[in-house]
Amino acid sequence: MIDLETPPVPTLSDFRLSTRQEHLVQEIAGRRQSRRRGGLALGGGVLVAGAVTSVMLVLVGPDTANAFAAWTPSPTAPAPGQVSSAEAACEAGVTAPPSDKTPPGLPGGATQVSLVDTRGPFTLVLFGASTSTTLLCVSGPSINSSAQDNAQMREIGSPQPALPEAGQIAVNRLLAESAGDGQAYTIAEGLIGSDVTAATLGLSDGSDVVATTGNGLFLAWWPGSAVVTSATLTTPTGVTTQPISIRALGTGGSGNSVKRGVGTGQ
Amino acid sequence: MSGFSETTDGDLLAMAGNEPEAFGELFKRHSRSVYAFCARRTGNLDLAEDLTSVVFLEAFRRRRKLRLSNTSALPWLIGIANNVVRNADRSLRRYRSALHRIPVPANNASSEEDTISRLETQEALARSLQAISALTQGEKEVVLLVLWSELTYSDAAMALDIPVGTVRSRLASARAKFKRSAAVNSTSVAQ
Repeated sequence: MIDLETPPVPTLSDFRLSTRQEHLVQEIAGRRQSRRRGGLALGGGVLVAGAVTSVMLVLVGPDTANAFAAWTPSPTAPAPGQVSSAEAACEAGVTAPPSDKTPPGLPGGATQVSLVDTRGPFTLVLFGASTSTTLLCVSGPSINSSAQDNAQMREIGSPQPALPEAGQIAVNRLLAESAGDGQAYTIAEGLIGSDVTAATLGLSDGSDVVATTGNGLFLAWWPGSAVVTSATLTTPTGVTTQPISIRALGTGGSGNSVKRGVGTGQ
Repeated sequence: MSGFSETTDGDLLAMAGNEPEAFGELFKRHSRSVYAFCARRTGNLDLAEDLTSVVFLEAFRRRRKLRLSNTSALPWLIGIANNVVRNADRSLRRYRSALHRIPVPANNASSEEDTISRLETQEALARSLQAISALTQGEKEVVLLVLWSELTYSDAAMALDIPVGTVRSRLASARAKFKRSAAVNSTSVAQ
């Protein structure tokens, strides 16, 4: 024992480092996916609970302590008549719009349904996605302050941007809304590549929300004001995670709707 | 990955749950230091490479317990590495299936020169480990962290979860043993 020196360790080559780095990222992504599969299984149980809770929410009305107690992070199968009543409520809202919430000149009742997202008793309907006038309507207990008006309609209409490439997602809009009791919720809407079969949005608060996908579109919403930071996409060739950047936060929109900005996949 | 170049280690860890690539960036930043630590601690370069992967898999698992020293996650990672190497067999067993999924690099073939160089390095590392074998476990760890990995006293204290004063006293004790040993050796040579 004569000194406390040690020889230099040869540096790990860039190639070996990147191989290990790639492996690590894949292992972590694989673990997230496994957890998500567990979460989806749980979603089936939430559906049953949601049906019971929705009755309670309707009975309790808009003053309930948590308007979104029956919300689920994964879409649920709609209850019988849920979608048709939501569409009817939305169309009624268009036909007789509250003057402070809906812009004039909407094509009342004539807009085609593009995609429907149901989570427990809540229904989010996207109308006319391929037209110049796109509408979003969310309905459910306690969505509006009036018990007779449990739907909120928004015109978000501008022509849709170009379709994203295969395996990609484009978040067109994040809409910050608030329910009748003032509780915030956020809606995300956009497009998916033709081969994307499922999309899970990672939010800035660390939670995940499984989107409803179909017709090259996706829809999702969640209680609170978190924004989308990533999307995990399933395609026939595997699962990839795509970072999402929200480029600008603006204030605009109508009524209590605020357009949070347009997010694009990287 | 370059999108994370301005992101702090703490933010990378916070994002890792949703964005695995953020954890990949953390690996890119600190894996060489962790690898060097594992190599010095084991004297085996191939094993050190596998242990480095294990350290980061373990770090991901424990990321919610992160304690940052300044803005660098390195002391925390070295602390994990210290435990991983101490229980190397158990750690490798735990992540065996993950390690089996690491692709063998296509250009894995080493030249004869590289192979000889690696063997010489390993022999030199083994001599270093032999040199500190007379120290207590605590003294060895402090030598590895402060003298060989060049961590500050406070970072070493954080990595080992001991007070800074203990780091200092263990290092002083290790140095004293070295001095005595050097004196004995020089006397032996003189005789």
